[in-house]
Amino acid sequence: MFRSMTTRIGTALVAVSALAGCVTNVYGPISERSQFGYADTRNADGSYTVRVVAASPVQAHEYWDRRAAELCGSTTFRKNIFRAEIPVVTTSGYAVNAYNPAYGSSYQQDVYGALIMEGYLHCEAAAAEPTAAPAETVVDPPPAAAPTQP
Amino acid sequence: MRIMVGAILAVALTGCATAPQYPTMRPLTAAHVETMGPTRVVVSENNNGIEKAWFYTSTSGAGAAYGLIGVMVSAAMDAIINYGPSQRAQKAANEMAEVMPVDALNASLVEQLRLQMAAATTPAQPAEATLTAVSADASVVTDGSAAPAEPIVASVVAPPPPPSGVYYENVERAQRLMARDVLDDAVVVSTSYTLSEDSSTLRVIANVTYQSTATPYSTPYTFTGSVPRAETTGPAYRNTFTYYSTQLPVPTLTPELRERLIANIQESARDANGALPAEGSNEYRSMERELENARDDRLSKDEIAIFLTREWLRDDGALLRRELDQAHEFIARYVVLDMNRTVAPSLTGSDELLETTEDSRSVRRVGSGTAAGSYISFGGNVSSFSTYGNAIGIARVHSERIEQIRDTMRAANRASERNNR
Repeated sequence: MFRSMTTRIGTALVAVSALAGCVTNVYGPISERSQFGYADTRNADGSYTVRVVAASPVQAHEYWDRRAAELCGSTTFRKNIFRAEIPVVTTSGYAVNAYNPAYGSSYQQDVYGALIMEGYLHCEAAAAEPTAAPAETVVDPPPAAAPTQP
Repeated sequence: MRIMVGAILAVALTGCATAPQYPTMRPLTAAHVETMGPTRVVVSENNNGIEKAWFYTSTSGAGAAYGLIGVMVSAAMDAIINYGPSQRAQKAANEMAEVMPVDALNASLVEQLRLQMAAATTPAQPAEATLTAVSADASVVTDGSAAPAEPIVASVVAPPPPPSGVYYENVERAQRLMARDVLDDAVVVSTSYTLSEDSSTLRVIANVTYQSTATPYSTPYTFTGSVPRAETTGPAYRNTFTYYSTQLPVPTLTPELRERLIANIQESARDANGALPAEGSNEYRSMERELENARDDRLSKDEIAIFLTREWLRDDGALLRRELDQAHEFIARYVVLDMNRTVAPSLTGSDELLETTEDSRSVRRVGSGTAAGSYISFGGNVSSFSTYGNAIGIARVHSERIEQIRDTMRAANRASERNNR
């Protein structure tokens, strides 16, 4: 009875611990709850610096262009991507022994992290008010991304 | 239950990295700047040359479930998987070293620092006044938040004012591979040069420090509780300057390119006598795996590198030399600019765009995180994603040189110890 209970508690703890590190990938400003998305700042010359974090190159471009369209109020803009990087991150895990489930071992390995793309946005027409939440609302940058937002 | 405890620990430990409390960059204080004035610069000689980044694939995660057998199997698999990429990275580094040996790299950096020094101390040509303007302008910048977004380097025609603040007095080279001592009252510049995994981009990083017994470091940050030990010692000034080259366009896979790739893989696998690896050997299995990958319909970063490395070497490395000169010029210029800037970076500031050139290159100062205060020069119009892997290939000639330096230094240390007895 006690063993069953502790096992259940343990399972719940593992699930909670694991889920704590989960992030969603939906278009929106980068925040504590979402590692993926966009963050932007306005430059003194009127242009923007837009940074996106995405799961694939296609998604990175899609997020960037979408945010650019929101900031400019149209799809007429110039972009100059100056950074497109896939950082390497070290992950840790725990593997249960296949022969004796009472044992196992932890391991670390390097994997490619989320894609970071950053560039300057020049709206061809006068910049409209952003239609989505601006970067100022960003609470916390993702660990792999370069800090750009205020 | 043991599994649960282990799993909880493993999951929990992944988040255990201590959150940094302060940026790595250390600015000089106004008092430091006043007392320093003309300061010698020591280029800590680079020994690795241009490194070639590659990704070391580890199967330890898959093997971890199978105990000792799993460890042994995954080690064997790792050897096969990584043999080809490591050989190719080594080959690329060897080729780069033929065109750009470490001596040429170090000489280029010294040259750019000397040009910067001459510009700051010789009131002569208007063209040279540009660089002096950077130094003079920098000495009055005291608030990072008010830093201008327009180019800091403005052309001036009037003769430059006499140098003020910190400026280079002379430039020296020093071999610091085995050095344990700290150079007193000298700006020490050490650099690293890395080609991305696909060889599309060259990254140059300069770490710059200044330490003096006359001007010890005093942390500008306030901490809740005691000041971290690392913030009580070390250099009075420290910062990082990173330069990314203009990115080379990635080639498109054609049947002809595929054939060239296959030929290249076979050529790389040959030993010193020109023989292909023996069937059944790890090297043979690795070559077969590489050939199989080469015949598919996509170019991996590793495969792209085979072609792009050659672009860097074309015309006796003309492109490489141009990018290195630009990188060294950026470092020489911004180090003196930054040493005259006394603003302590914040973990929560914002990036600043400092300079944009006609070729779309821009210089930015990182505004937040532990890298806050560091400078990055980015090439414009980047089209593909770059990675810098988790391993590097160093040219054989440079590895041998490093060993030679170590041996010489050890012998000198032993002789010195004998003399002291």
